[in-house]
Amino acid sequence: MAGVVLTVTSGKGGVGKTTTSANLGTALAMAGQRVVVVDADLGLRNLDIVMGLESRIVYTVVDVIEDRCPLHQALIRDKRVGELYLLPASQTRDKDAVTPDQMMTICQELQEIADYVLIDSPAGIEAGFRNAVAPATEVLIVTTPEVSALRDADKVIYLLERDVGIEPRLIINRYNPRLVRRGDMLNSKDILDILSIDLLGIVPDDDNIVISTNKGRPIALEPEVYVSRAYHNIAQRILGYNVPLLRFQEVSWWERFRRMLGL
Amino acid sequence: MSEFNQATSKTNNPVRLPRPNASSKPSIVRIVGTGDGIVMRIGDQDGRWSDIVRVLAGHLAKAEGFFQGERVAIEIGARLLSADDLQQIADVLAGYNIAIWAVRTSNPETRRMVQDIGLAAEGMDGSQEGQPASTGKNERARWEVHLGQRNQAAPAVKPHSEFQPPQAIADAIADQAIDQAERTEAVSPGPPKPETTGRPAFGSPAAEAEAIHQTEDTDDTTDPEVILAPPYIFRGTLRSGQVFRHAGTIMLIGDVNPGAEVISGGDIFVWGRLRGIVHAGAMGNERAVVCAIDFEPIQLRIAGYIAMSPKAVSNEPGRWFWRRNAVEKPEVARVMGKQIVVDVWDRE
Repeated sequence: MAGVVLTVTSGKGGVGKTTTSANLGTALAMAGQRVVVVDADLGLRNLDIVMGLESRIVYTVVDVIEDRCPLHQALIRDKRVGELYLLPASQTRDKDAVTPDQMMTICQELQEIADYVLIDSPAGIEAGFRNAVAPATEVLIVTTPEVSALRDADKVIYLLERDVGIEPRLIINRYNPRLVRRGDMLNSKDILDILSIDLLGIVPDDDNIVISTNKGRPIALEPEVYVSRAYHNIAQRILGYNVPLLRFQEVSWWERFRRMLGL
Repeated sequence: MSEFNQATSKTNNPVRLPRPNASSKPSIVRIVGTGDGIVMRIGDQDGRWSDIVRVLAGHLAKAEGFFQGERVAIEIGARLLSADDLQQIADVLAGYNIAIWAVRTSNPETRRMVQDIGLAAEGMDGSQEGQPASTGKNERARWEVHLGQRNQAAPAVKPHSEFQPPQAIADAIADQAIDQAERTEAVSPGPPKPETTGRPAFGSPAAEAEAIHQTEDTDDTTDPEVILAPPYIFRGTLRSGQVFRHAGTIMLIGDVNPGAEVISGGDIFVWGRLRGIVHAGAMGNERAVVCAIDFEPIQLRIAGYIAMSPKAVSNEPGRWFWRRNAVEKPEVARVMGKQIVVDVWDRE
């Protein structure tokens, strides 16, 4: 049975596509799936750093396309979880080195061996974006609760519906429940009102995500941390389970007071 | 086939090739401005079609984009024309962003072909439409565009009662030379140039002004009774970057998101949230109205008038669309006394 090709994209840069890809890949692998994460951001590769696999890269996706190595040789196995593989992007070549057709060929091969192929799309709506969405069977849009990110996400949804014919699903990233409650941030209902697509999950804004990204150890590897639940829930929903939305952890006033004092 | 024709004409009888600007004898192709827009008159009998296409291309090259964005009618007399022949002309014109809207012919065979394609077909005297005869008698009504001479403005295109969107060609002939992106961008077949009538420069509105009126009235505005095209009903959400153009009234069942544009020759009705940019009466109809259930456009234009949402020019322009106190009532915008006025719908 052929696997599912999931493309993670956003339009705007810096909303957390790479972090989401790394964590979702990890969470899906921890749920027992065989996952290949593909970095489609040629020329600006980051996914390997976020996953902490940078030092083990020998061959990249461009080497596979140009027949310098077989596909399985370019895949890097993440040994911390069951079956998670990374197909890294090249840092020296840019987006013109790959065409959508070649991307589709690679993904067809990966579909044979994996349950889920996650493609981390570059920002923008140019060649790199088209490469990333061409092979997709499902698309996840990542957005933050900011009007600029929403505007770009809206455009990307339009492009996807026009060119690929896929109805994408939405992940809201860096959601700050405290600001939302004060009315200083768009709430999830406002966002869904504008984008009118299915919500797959909400990832709250949390320091632990930044810390884990810098460590090269996806937060999803530590299920006991509260935000990592958000990624595991999204992974469960991708697998077809009906999981309720995360109840946001409130920081008590005493806790906030302690942080203010720097304790 | 066309290449073959061209090749033979080049080798065998180069003398027959008329020069575009030979003043002594009339050219095969003449481009004339009449009461109802630009007409390309193509000589009746003489000349091969490929020659004519070449002469026309020469004329247009000389004109250096003078006719850019216009739409033209073609008069071809009694000549028998095939769809391929018409396509050749359409290709050449498309290179200069010119659209054909009508073909005048006295040949019934050709007329049938033209009607099949979906363009307006008329008799040579234009009697079908009851228009003033543009040939012969009323010389004063028409004036010639002298190629290469630019002191005269091109006539503004009058709305035409039998206006067929040029996109109709594209439906009939598969390989019409319309830019692919353009075709997908425009959801509906639209008027070739809604901007033909003058409108104030975009982006110049004073910040505090609720409505800005045009400094000069264009003379060719409006016969409001003229129906430009049948209404178009669209169901779905218009997203950021999407542009919806149509010559007639637009009925939208769904939302218009911020960043999307709706341009209509007539009225615009939005059965949903309106948050993008709308332009009603884009061809100069000042009686056009814009209605929406949830009326929050970033910018609103009717004919030559521009208005901005008061929230969009407030201190916090970024958050106006999500921090709004909804009126919860449908609203309607229309031009009253040189400015755009927005009212709650039930007042009527």
